[in-house]
Amino acid sequence: MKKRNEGFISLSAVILLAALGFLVFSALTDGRPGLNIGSAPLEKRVSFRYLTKSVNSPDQAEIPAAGVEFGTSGYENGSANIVTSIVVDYRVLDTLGEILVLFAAAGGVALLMQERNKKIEQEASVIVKTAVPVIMLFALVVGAYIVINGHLSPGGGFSGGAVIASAFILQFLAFRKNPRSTGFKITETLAGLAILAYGLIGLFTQGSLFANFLPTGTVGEFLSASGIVILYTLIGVKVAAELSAVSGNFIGGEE
Amino acid sequence: METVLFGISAFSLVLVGIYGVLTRRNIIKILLALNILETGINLLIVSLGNTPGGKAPILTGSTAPVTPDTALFFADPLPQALVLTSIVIGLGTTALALTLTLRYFRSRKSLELGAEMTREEAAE
Repeated sequence: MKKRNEGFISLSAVILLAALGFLVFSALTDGRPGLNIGSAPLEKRVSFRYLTKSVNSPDQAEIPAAGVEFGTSGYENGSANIVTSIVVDYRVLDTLGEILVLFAAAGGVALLMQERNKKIEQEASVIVKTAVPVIMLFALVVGAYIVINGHLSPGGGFSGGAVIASAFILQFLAFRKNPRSTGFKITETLAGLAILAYGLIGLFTQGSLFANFLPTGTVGEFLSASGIVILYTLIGVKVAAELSAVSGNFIGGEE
Repeated sequence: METVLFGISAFSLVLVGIYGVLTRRNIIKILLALNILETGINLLIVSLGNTPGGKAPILTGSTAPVTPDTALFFADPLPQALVLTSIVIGLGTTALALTLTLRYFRSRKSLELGAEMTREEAAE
């Protein structure tokens, strides 16, 4: 390969990076109000509404004076993990778009990987074949725990789904068994349709897509947070199936 | 101070990433650089929600009730929620890009940018 314009490209890279660096540094350190991103007080940020669970009340006076407390009920959202309450409740349309992007990527990988060269495979050793079922069991249990505890502790459908998918990837690598099975595609489709059905129930009973139609419950209990458990379980199943299918496509092997 | 430290680390990652994307010719290396760049941007977004000494925004039995005054003790949850979306989309784009790279390699027998097609492929 000829090294054409190598010096010019490096020079423009350095100039671009210097300009970017100046912008980021000034945005972080400029003391004047409004210029420094950290200078906005929390009361003026959107997150203040999410933290006090008062998005539906436009007036600050409507925020309950006692505050949002662990173990009490009656809020517009009952999730103890506030990040989860944003991802799966307040900004759930973002998450719907995210699921669609992941679906498109998985579909694209499956489409482009159709004509796969058959490669020479080496059999996995006895040690791997003995250890993988044990590790798989732990990975599945931990993944399921992360998925269904997304509203109480750090975690959720995406991270838990990735852990579950890692169990299936180990299975593919050790046993070369059905890595391109249609079971993943069927599971993924059903979970996706169930997510849409959940959103449509909200649309027809409450008047807006993905509206809460279940009681919000007590903050900190397992069955709280109105449907976040249901939605995150469905998302976890869908993400696990998608990631398993994508890695199965990359690993290849017999049908 | 913490925010500036986070910003400098994030910018260093972005710097490595952009440099790699602009100067490498191997497609796998470009994708690696793209992922480093993405990590830097995610770190920058999360660091913008940092409150000095702020806790993770999760209510537990030991946290005080969240009122307009005590909300300041938590880190800003919104950037964290947005970065979750960004990570998942990064995964999807990387998987698709690697698939395209595999097809590129099959027709050119090379991972360099601008490689010419092999004779059999060009004849088809």
